[in-house]
Amino acid sequence: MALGTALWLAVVASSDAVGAVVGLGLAGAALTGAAVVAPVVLGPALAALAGAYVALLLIDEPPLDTRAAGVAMALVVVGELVGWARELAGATRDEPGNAWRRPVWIAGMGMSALGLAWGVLAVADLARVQGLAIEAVGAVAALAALLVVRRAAARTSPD
Amino acid sequence: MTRAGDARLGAYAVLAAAALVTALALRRTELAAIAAPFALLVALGVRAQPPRLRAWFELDRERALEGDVLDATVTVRSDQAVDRVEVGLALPDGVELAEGRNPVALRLSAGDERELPLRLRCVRWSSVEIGEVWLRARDHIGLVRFEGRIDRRRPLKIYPTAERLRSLVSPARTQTATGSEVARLRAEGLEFADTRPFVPGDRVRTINWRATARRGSLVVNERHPERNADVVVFLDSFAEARTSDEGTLEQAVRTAATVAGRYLERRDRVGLVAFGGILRWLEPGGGLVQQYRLVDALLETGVEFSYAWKDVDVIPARTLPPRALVVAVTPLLDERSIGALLDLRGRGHDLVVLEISPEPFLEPGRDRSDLAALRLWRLQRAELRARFERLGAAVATLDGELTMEEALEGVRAYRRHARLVQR
Repeated sequence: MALGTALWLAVVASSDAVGAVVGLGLAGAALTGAAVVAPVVLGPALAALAGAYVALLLIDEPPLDTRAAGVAMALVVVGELVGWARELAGATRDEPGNAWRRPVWIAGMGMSALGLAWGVLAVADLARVQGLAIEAVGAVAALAALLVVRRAAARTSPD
Repeated sequence: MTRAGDARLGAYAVLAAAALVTALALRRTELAAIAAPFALLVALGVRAQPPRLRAWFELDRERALEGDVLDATVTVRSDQAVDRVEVGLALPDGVELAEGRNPVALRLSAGDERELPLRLRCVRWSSVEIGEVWLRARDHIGLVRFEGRIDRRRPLKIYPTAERLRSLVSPARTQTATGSEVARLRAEGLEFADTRPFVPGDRVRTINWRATARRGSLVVNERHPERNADVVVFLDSFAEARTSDEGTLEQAVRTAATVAGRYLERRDRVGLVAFGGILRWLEPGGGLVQQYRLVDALLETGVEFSYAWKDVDVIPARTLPPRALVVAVTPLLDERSIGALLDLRGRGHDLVVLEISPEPFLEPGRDRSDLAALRLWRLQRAELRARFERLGAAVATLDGELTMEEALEGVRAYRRHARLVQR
């Protein structure tokens, strides 16, 4: 998955950016492989993969790049797959009938990450447009934030 | 339960923070979009609360023999839904999993109770405690895990398997109580010993009428009485030779348990001296209770390292009664125990040495000097055995090639020969 992400970014990058993207992407893929054994390198692995995309953004300078949602999904799936691989490498086995839950959960998380990142990009796109729409989105976001704070406060009350 | 973050938690947090900072620095919204799912995952992960889990452990019995398979059940109950909880039973040394899943990952609904049947094999004699259940639960996101141990330990005694042994070494002298050992002295008994001329006071029923008819004067039968004996098992626990899974001490304890059990079956009184870094003793006694006492004392035996010099003077006198047969079970590796045995023989105790050979546990080198050293070591041990035999103590070597029955036959032959020489 990490290698696929690196290759995808290399394919969509311009010829100027391809060197940096491939270098960082392959480093990220290699570190991801190492993270299965040494989990401390998972952070650098994801950072290297994200760095490949940052290099693409810096060199190619696209306007608002919707591929970021795909990158977010790929990074989440890579992180979760590393976690699953480590679980499978351990001595503990799932009881029969439960093994399918984890891949389904990872796929769901990937899709959720895609949706969330795409939502952030959509909001950013609205912000570029300006006008009444962005005001409405801002108001809805503020209301949602208030509701979240109120709910959190109710949960932590002593009674 | 202790809380610990998964490696992903740190990685996701660092990535989200770095992406947000970079997004601000480069003024690229795309990086904020990448950071958003990771920031959300971290926020949900750190809010996770530990689940309320309970566990119980049941074992079908508390005493078993080596090789026995025990039925055990680990029961787990959760008051709330847990996406994944790993349940493991800590297995002590000497117990291994024969059947079942351990550890296993479960998914529990709220109020769900799950029983995990396990079959455990007792592979080595020991006195252990079993029942420590460890639990590792994680939240739905899986970024935080909660670990805990639930102590449901209970004692488990795994007794050594007794080897088949039909005949034992007869002691040179017996005690006064009735038993199964044919005494050398002549008195009322079943075994015919000899005939002699009638003297006043002899009972009429002892008259041998055929011999009387041949000789023309009254001749009576003499008989050997059946008496019991005092046997002291001397277990040398100063040193052992061992590989990763087996050693001379394990074999010594099995041998000692076999010998003690067989003597007790003959209604002899059996005591124990575990002579090592820690001295343990048990005064001679008989019966089933004594057998349990002996085996329990044997299970407590281990090799405790000690520089302290010990000789037979540290053994309580009542543990080594006069006319007792001392059966020493030893690898003959430590000078202190060798010295103590020689001392016992020197003080007139009837001594038999069952040598648990350390040779199967050695891995000699292949070069010439190593092989020469091995030959020299073997010569030294042979000389030591010869020294014991010169003093009248038979040595049987248990090296895995001979059964205990076969090894003891050599001792019996030696003692028969020695008896003839004495006469």
